[in-house]
Formats: sequence, structure tokens, C-alpha cells
Amino acid sequence: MMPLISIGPLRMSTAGLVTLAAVALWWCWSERRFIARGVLLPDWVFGVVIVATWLGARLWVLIESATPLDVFVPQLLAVRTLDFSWSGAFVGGLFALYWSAKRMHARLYTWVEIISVPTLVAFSLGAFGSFWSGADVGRLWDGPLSVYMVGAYRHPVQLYDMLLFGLGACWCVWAERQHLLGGWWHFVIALASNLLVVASFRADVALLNGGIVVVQLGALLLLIVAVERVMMLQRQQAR
Amino acid sequence: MNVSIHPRVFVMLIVGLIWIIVTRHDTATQPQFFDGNRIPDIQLMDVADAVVSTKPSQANPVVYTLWTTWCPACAANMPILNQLVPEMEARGIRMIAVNQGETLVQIQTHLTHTPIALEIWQDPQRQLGMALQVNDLPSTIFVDANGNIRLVYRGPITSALFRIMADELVHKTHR
Repeated sequence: MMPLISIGPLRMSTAGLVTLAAVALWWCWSERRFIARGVLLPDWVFGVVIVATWLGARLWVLIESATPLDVFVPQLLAVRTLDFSWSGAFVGGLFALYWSAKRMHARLYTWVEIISVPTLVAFSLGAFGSFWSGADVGRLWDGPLSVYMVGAYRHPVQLYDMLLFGLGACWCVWAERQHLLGGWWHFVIALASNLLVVASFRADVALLNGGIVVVQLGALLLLIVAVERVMMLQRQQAR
Repeated sequence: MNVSIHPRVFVMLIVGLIWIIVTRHDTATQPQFFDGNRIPDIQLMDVADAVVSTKPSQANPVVYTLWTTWCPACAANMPILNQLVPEMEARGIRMIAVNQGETLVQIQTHLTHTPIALEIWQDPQRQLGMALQVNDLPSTIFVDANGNIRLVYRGPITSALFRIMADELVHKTHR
């Protein structure tokens, strides 16, 4: 089911509404954190990141579904569509951050460290919006926590996403409070852990022969590299 | 080159690999979303409130178009589909516009100023779109007479591509 909510002349899906709330939260919170760290950013940076995140999320879906060229641009700009890719959103946002940081002669690592907690909380909120809209893509399962969505009982993967992104945000906050070095790598740990765990329960993942989920292998590699880097920085900090 | 790995990281690697293996998809027995590439059997209502079904009739290929009244791309695509209806009927292909997530009143209000030549079905719970995991509007689903899905086309479709797929459907049906 796709509940629609009327706000004046607008009719929005719950996913759209929650996504807007997540973007607003991300923007306000990130801006405050930039100011707290003594980095004053012009507003265009946030605009560029939000637009690039949107385009990245759509572009990923369109390329993945081999959309013909004659309808590519209208589909890319379709604001009322429901198909978005988390991976595409992340790549698009990261690219925009990199471009903006380079333009302002700033360090990308520092910027990513600053936006890590708001991003994870916004992702968590977005995952809840996706669940609320009933677009579940979990593997079939008839366990006690299964939900009836898209014609069958399934793993509520968006709720898992919400929980793990939330835990990731807590992890990054804890690392900040402990003044641990390598905030960028803590963010990577949070994202990679999420992918490693949640991809197990998704039905829409690419599989290797034998049923191994491709994205889990990449996530594990990323997780190991990030943990190793964090431990190395901790050893340096201890000296 | 001396490459050393911390014991804790090594343990994490082993645990991660075990997790990946334990949670791998059982491709042999995992129930599929729908039976291979077959259209799922879903009961809906047409605009006269009669029960209709996506169950293959073994007689005609069917083309389903998922649409809504508020979708600008659907409005732009519908005249192309309207023009194709007589040609496709002559070739034995049914064209059905399956509305997604709207009420009968909304559909009928829309039809008063925008006629649609296709058969129109209601799908207020978006059962068909969700069963096929199709969220883009409009989307066109080509199903042969045996109920096999030949193509799920996301976005406004051109008449040229529609005709190519129609040829494919007729060919598969008569083979």
C-alpha cells in the first residue's frame, strides 16, 4: 500500500514526506556541526549535495534497469517516482562533496566526518519512510517478526536498515565523544556493517554461484580495511 | 613486504566470512517472487466493478500498462497507447490499463475529460505493481499467452518499441 498525504495542493506518499523530513534534518544538523567545527559553508554546497544525491539515486536505478536513451532524461528528472538506490544516493552525494571540497580547497575527510552522524540518522529515517510506504524487498520468511508486504511474508529489511543506521550513528557519536581519530573510518564501519548484515535479508541482491551475496563480500573487505585503519590510528594516538 | 594483520581483525574476517556463508541464498529451494517469469495470478476489479484476473487465458497475449491519473508521463503516453488499440486488437493482443493506488471515483472523474481506449482495471492496493516490483510510472508489461512476462518496460513507451514487442508476443504465441 502507498498511503498518500495531502498538504495543501500537494499529494505526497509517506516515503516522499519522510524523505523530505530526512533531507531537512540532515541539512540543519550538518550546518550546525560545520559551524561548531569552525567551518563556514555557503548554502550552495548543501544544495549541490542534495541534488547530486537525488540524481545519483535515480541514475543508478536507470542504468541498472537499462533505460532507453529516448526516455532517460524524463525518467531521471521524474520527481514523483518511487525507485531510488541507496548506493547511487551515496555515490552521488560523495561525488558532490568531493567536488565542493576541492572547489573550496578543503579536506574531504573532514567534511565526511562532520556529516557522518546526520547522514546516518537521515538514512535511518529514510529507511523507515520506505517501510511505511510498504515497498519491502525482504526475503520470504514466515518467522515471528515477518511482515506481510508485496504479496508475501517477508523480512522487514527496512526496519533492519533503520535499526543498523541508528546504531551506526550511535557508534560515530561514541567515537566522537571518546575523541578517537579517524571519524571518516568510523563512518565507513557503520555503512559497511549495515551492508554486511542487511544484504543477507534482501531479495533484490546480486548473487554469485552458490547463493553468496556479492555486496557482502565488498562490505566485508571495506569493514576490515576500516577497522584496521582505526586500530592503527588508535595505536598512533596511544604513543 | 611485511604485511601484518591484527589478531582481532583476523577474527573479524573469519566471523564475517562465516556470516556470509551461513546467510547465503539457497538458490535451489528459495521460493521465487513469482514463478520464474510468469505473471502472478492477481484478482482485481474493472471500472464496472466486475472481478478480473491476471491469470493467463491461454488465448491472447496481454499488455498491462500501470498508470495513475496524476502522473504527467502517463498522460503523455496514453494517446500513443490509445492509437495502438485497434491495431493490437486486430492482432489478438489485449491492452489493459491498470490504475495504481487510486479510487474508482478518481478514475471515473479522470475519464470524463480524458478518454482511454484500453480496458481499465482498478488496483487500489497496487497489488500488480508490488508483485512485479515495478514502481515507475507508466510501466508496460508484455505477457505472452502462456503467462510468461516478456518485457517490463519502465517509462513512456514509443509506438515503435510497442510494435516490436507485439511481434515478439504474437510470434511466441503461434510458435
